[in-house]
Amino acid sequence: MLNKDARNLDYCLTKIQSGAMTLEQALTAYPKHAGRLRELLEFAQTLRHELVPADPKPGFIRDSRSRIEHAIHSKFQPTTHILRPSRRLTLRPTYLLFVLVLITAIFGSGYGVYSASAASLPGDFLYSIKRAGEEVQLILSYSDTGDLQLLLNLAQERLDEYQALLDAARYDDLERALAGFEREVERLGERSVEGEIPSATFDHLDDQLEKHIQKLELIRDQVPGSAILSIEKALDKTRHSQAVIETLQEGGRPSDLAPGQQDKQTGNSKDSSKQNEHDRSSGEDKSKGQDKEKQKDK
Amino acid sequence: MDGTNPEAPRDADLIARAKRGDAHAYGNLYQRYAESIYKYIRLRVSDEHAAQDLTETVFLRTYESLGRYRERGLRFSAFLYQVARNLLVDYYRQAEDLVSIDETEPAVGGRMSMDERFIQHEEVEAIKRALKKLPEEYQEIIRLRVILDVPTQEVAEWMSKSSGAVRVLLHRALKALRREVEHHHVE
Repeated sequence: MLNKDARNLDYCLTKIQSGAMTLEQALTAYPKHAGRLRELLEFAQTLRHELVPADPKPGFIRDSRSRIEHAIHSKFQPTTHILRPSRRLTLRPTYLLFVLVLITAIFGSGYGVYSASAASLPGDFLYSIKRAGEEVQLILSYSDTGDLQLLLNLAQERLDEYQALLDAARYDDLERALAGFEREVERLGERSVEGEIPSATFDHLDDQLEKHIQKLELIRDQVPGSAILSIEKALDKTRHSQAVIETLQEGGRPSDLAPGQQDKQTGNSKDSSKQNEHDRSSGEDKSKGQDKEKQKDK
Repeated sequence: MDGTNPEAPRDADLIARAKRGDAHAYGNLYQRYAESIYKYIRLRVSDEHAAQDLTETVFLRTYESLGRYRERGLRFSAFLYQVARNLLVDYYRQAEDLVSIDETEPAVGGRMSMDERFIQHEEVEAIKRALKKLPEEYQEIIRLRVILDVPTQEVAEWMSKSSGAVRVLLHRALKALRREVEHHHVE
C-alpha cells in the first residue's frame, strides 16, 4: 500500500514539476486516492514556493567560470622563463633580522615556533615570524615564474588574513592586512611584464575586495560607535587596494596612486569623508536595488 | 541535464577533454551544473557569498579529483553532489553559520503589506524549523526532490538508493514534515 501511494505521489509530482500536467490533471489519474494525494501535493507545492532559493546573481556564473578556466589553464601552461637583468633583492632590515631569527629558530629548537606562526594574523605576536618565513620562500624561489606565483599566493594569503580578522571582529588590524596585500600586489606589478598576469587573476582579487567592502558596509551598521572609525578606515583602505589593482591592470604603477587617492584619472585627491558619504549612499542604493532584485527573482 | 539538447556534447566527452587540460570543456561542464549545485548549497548555507565560494570550490575540487571519476553508471552530477556534501561537512565543522539578512526575505513579497509579510515570514520560519527536526535523510529528500525538482532517478544515484526507495522515502518525509508543521500550528 505504501509503495503504491509512494509511486502515485511520485508520478504526480514528476508530471507537475515537468509542467506536463497541472495538479488537477495529475489527480484525475488517481481518482480513488485524489484526497490523500491532493494534501501532499499541495503541501509539496507550498514547500517549493516558500523555500526554493533564488537563482545565482547573473555575473556570478560567468565570472566564476572564468576563474575556474583560468585556474586550469595556469596548471597546464608550460612554464616560461623570462630572462632579466640580475634582480636586486631588497629586504627591509626588520625582515632581515627576523629571517636570521627564523633560520636560527628552525635549525635550533624553534621549528615549532615557525609552524605555530603559520596561522597567525596581523597584530599577533608571531605574525612577523610568518612574514619572515614568506620572505625566505621568495629568496629560495629559483625562477621568475615561481616568484610570480608565490607573490600571487602571498597576496591571496593577505586577503585570507583580512577575512579571518573580519570574522573575528578585529577591525583595528584590518588596515595592516590590507597594507600587506598592497605590498604584495605592488611587488607583483614590479616583477611582471605587461600582460604576463592574466586580467582574470586581477579580477579575482578585485572580486574578493568587493565582497569585503560589502561585508564591512553591512557590519558598519551593527557595531558599536567605537568600532565604526576602524571600519571606515578599513573601507577606505580596501577601496584604495581596488584602485591599486585597477592601476596595474591598466599598465600603470601603484606609486602613481597616492594613499587615499582613489580616482587616478582626475588626478585630484578626494576628500575622504565626502567619498565615504558618496559610497555610503551608493552602498545603500545598491542594497535596495539588490532587495528589489531578490523580490523580483522570487 | 545531459540530454536536454541532443546536439550538446555528452558529459563523458567533456570530462575526457577536461582531463587532458581542456579548460573550456570543463567550463562547459561548469555552465551545465553550476546553478543546480549553487542552489543546493544555498539551501544549506544562509550566506550568499559563502554559497558562491563553496560552489566554486566544489568545481575546483571536482576537477582535482577528475582522475578518480569513472562514468560507469554514476552520472557526473552525482559526483558533484558528493563533493558538495563533503565540502559542506567541512564547512560546518570550520565555520559557524552566519545568519544573513537574506533569510528574512519572503519568497513572494512584491505587493504585500507589512502584516502579510510578517505572517509569511513566520510561516516560512515555521517550515524551516519543522524541517530541521526531521531525520537528515528526510530533510535531504525534501531538499532535492521537492524544493530543487531533481528527478527521482537522479536523486536515487546521488543518494545511492534505488528509485523505489527514493519514492517511499519521499512519501514518508512529506507526511512527517506536514505533521510537524501542523503540530506547530496547533501549539
